[in-house]
Amino acid sequence: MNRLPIYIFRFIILVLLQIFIFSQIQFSNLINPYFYVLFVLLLPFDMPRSAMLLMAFFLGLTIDLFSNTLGMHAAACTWMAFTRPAVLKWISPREDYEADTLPTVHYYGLRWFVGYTLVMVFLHHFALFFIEMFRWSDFFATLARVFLSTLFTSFLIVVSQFFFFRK
Amino acid sequence: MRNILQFLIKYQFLLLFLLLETIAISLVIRYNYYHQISYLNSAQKWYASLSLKKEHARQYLKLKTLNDRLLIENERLRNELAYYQKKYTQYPQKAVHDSSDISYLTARVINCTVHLPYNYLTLDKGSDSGIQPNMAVISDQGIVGVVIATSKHFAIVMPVLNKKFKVSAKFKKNNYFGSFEWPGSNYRFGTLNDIPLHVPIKHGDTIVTSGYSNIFPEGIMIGVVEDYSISMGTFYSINVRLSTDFKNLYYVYLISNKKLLEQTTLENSVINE
Repeated sequence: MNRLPIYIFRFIILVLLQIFIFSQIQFSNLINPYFYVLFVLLLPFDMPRSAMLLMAFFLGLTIDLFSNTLGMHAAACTWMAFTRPAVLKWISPREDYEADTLPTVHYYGLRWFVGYTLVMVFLHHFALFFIEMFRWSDFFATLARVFLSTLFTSFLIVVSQFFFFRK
Repeated sequence: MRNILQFLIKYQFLLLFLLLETIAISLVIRYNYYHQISYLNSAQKWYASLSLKKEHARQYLKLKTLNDRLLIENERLRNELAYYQKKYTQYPQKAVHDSSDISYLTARVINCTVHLPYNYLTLDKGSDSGIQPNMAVISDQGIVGVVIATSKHFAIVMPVLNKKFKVSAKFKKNNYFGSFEWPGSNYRFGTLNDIPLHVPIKHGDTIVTSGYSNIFPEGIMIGVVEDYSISMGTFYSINVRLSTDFKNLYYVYLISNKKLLEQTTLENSVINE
């Protein structure tokens, strides 16, 4: 339980970074990085799944409150947390996840982490952008936004691992 | 009971996910205006065709009352027509010209709620019949609301019974005006604010639209004064009994104002400077 303060601190920092920096970045409306999803990515393996859902929902709701999009991030984050166990299972390394490890670059290597990040961020961005558009008519334009933003967010997340989350 | 509990525990992850998503999506629809309109447009397209059938049956049973109401209204309109014909015989050209700025369309209400804080009505006509957003909607009894969205065959109206609805209203007898809105509780009563304290008010005074909002023409019946109190010490807060009974609403008229666009463009150009 001594990890709890770290997660609370990370939560606050990520929300602040998202609101004041990443939400201000927009390249021609195509790329909107949502860096804060890193919080859900880094939650421990052994966390109760329902607690994870609630955390993700609360995280999304916090972002929503500051960006005037009530419900959209909450829905996308909850969806992301819901799919996380399945994704982790799908991309698990050959000798499975060891006890007392975290889903980070340092335990499972760059390749694993990049794959994990791309899949999870894609799931989140896909849900978020389509909820934001709320129709299928501009499907491919929205899909382009999803792909570009996924690449950019994932890039930021992977790079951040080497700068700020050293062991 | 034990089986239910076991079921809940077994599927708690999925159930919690569904619960949270439902909350999130309903927040999206409730608080984001654009999403609300798209939801109403698509969801009500299906629902509307169903309600249309239900309404057909219901109206058949109500035919007699409806006929009576239409007769009374016809009678009143004929009387007014006769009056104006007489009044304008000297200037027949002018009369025709004046009235052509505003034209009326009729539509039927096929879906209506009154018990929510944000109620909406659905009409059985849409953009194909010339209905556009921002048209005023009235009934033979008085004000109804304003069109906020249209699809090909249906239109959504934000009625007075919606907390987002606001209209400029005045006393018929002395033209003091204030802002009229619906507090969100009782579907029979609305509130008229911003009336200064020196205005004499009596129970039963008539409240009509002031015409200062671009959408509603002047003089459309809103309701009568039921009681009043002083709010914040400077203005009256007046409880108004609505003249339109939304639980008994079948036919409505839509007012299209041909000069509305011209007026709003001019007004916006001044505001933007």
